[in-house]
Amino acid sequence: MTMELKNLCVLIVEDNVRSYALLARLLSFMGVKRVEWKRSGWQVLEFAQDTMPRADLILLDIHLPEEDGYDVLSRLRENETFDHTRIVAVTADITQTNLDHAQRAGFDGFLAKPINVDNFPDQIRRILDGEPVWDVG
Amino acid sequence: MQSASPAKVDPRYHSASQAIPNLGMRGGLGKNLLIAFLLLATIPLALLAFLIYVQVQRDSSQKLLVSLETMAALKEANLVSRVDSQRRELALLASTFSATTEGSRPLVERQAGATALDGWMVIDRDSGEIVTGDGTQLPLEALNTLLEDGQTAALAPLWLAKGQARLATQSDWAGYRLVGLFDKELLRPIVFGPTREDDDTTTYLLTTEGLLISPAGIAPLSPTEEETVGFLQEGRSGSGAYTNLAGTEVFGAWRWSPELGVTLVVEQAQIRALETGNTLTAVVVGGTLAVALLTAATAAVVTRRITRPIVQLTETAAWMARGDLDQQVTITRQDEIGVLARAFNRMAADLRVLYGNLEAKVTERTQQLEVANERIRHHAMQLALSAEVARVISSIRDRDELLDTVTELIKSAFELHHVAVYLVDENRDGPEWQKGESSGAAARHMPVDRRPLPEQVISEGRRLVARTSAPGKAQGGMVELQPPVTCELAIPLRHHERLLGVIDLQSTRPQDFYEDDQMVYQSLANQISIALENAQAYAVERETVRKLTDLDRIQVEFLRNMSHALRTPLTSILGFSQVMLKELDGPLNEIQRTDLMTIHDNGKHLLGMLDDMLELSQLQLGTAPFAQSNVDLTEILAGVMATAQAVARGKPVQLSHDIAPNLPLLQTDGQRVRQVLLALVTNAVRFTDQGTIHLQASATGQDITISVTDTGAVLSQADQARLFSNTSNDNGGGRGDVPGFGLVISRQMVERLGGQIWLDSEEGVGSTFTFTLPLIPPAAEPNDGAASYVDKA
Repeated sequence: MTMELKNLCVLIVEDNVRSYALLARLLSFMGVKRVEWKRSGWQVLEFAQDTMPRADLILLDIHLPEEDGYDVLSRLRENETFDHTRIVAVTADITQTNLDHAQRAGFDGFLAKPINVDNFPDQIRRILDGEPVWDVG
Repeated sequence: MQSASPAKVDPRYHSASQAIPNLGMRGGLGKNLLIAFLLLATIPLALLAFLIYVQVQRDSSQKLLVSLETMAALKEANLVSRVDSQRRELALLASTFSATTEGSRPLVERQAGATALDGWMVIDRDSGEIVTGDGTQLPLEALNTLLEDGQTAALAPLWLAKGQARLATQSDWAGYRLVGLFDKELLRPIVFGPTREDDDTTTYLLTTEGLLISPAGIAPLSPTEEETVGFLQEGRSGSGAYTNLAGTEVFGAWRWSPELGVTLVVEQAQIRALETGNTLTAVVVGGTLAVALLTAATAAVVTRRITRPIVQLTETAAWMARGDLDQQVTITRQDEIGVLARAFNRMAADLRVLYGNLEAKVTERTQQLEVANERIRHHAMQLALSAEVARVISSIRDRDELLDTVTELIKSAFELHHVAVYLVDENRDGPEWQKGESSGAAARHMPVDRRPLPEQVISEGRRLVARTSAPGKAQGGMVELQPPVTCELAIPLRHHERLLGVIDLQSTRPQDFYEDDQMVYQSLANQISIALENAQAYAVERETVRKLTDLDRIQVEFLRNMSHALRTPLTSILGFSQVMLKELDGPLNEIQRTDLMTIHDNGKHLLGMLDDMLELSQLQLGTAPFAQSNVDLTEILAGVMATAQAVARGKPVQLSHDIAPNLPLLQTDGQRVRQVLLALVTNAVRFTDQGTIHLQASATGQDITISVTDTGAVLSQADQARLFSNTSNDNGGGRGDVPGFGLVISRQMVERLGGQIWLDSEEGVGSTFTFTLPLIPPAAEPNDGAASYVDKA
């Protein structure tokens, strides 16, 4: 699936505002116009019900308050709104255990924190093209 | 005689005569004595009787023969006289006859009729014919042979009519013979008739011709009869004992009468004859028997008097031999036997005393032996129990379990009423103790100074024993169904002079808990003290280990959280510095770029360290995942070499490698192996400013050995030792100052993969890191339940 980056709608679920800012900055440099920011899975589902038109890509932090990324993922997968959405785990926990967990849970990709600024645009493009990206840094 | 009580008889003293002694000898001596008496009395009497008998026999037969001879003589004289008188009468008749020859017939007839003649005849001597007669028929031949010429009288048995024997006499007269015949009845009164009333003799006549003239008649003797009585026909007189014609033993007297030519025999049966003698014999024999009987009775009485006390003595001796020494002979006589009995009783009394002493000694010795046996048994039990306790001590670490086991063990082994261990609670000073006690019967303490014994022992600090003064008396006024506790022993449990508690033992046996027992229980108490101390130490140790483990986990957890917490801001630092370096925020001048580079590099360094910390914590917790697949080491080595080349770019360092061809495939985690190799090679590159770095790999048996040698700085021994430990140091730039935890992680990984890693470092030669990997990994260790520590980051 190749789509114009400027039409892309990306949702970032991240409790840390700086991390969100960095990701948003990088995505905007890539030409993505719409980047939404939610702090928790609950906010995502709430947002999905009313204002959000669609989400092509969700960058989901695993380490979240209240619900962790895996719980959020399963809730999102239950919602048909996100049937065609690529959901990528973004985490600082780059252990093999966590990577395996992410693969089993049904993530479409895995990006290690800190984000490698050089590689990031390419990784996003590959994910959007349907390639699995499992980057442990 | 009193019977011996079997209980009194010690079986050891009469095992030789199990049965009651055979006292059949009671009659032995008596019999001998009796027989001796009887023999002494009877033999002379019997001899005497026999002699008397023989004498009597001889005398009576003598007397009889004389009497018989007399009778025979008398009878013969009578007979002769009678016959003579007949003859004379006949002669007279003949003379008368001759005077009246022819005409005298009637006269003769008259005369003859007047005489006792039975018949008569006149025979012509020449012709031999009967001239005249009274009609009596006589065979002439017989008459002729009977009366020879000149013979005037003959006793001739003549066969006449009716078989009558007749006697004949003749008288010669003028050429004639006058023959007169007598009836044999004539003979009866004088010959056959009895001489007196009780006459039991038999008389008969025997002629020389062999004719027997008896009251029954006249008969000739058969040849056998002639043989039998031949001696009577020899014309002699005599007497003697012989067997007569009837076959009877007789005494007889015989008399020869030459005038008549007959032998007169008078006989009496011996039996009859000896009747008087037999009576005398019977008297003699009866007298002898009576005397013998009297003697026997006397002998019996005397014998009994002699033997009875002896038998009694013998029986008593036999009983004593069987071990019944309480026997006493009850003889109160004053004679020798009485003396013997008294001596015997004295001897028995002495024996009794001796035996009593002996028995007492044996009983004493037996008791001592039993006591010794009991001690040995006790000792054996003690040893067994000590071994068991030691075993229990070595196997039980838990204090409560130890107490329960020990109390149960001691109770059952020593068969005690109750066993308890009271421990002084170190946290409290009061009387509240923790305790372990045996199951079953409840404790019944004996108060000492109104305090339970264990309490008293705690306060006095020494071993104490309490006993009931009146055993069997129920305590507390209650009716006891179980046997009452009669003694109690409490021993303080000490370890290095520290009082741990008290072991309290209660027994229903009054003989328990004396000095020997106390030593046994003391030794047990010592063992229990050690066991308790060990259990205590073990509990403390376990607690410490638990705390340490917790500390470790907390530390590791802390590290994990820290690294994660640090990572997030670091992410921003790295990300934004990168953004700026890429001039996304606008162009940078050279100084800005250099500064940003510094920020970025240090941030990356910091991140590396955080990653290492994370890795290490996972390895230490055992949560680091290890994959396993067939790994081609050659491939990994090539990749690592390429990386090393890149890292070493710009340094005057020569990289070389010596990889053995056909390295076997490894069953291992390739990613981890790569990590280790990379760590070693980058480490080598980092500390080698110039020189060579050599990579070598070879297969050795079950292992593959890989080494990385460099010519960089050499480590001191202390540094070498510290190198693989996770004690970080900060001694400023030396090689021991390892950045991150690379080598520590490497060591952990190699060990997890089943290999070893070490360092050889030598001045002037360089340093060689070597590690081995097994071809087949060791069995996976259980994952220690560490999954619970996996963080959902």
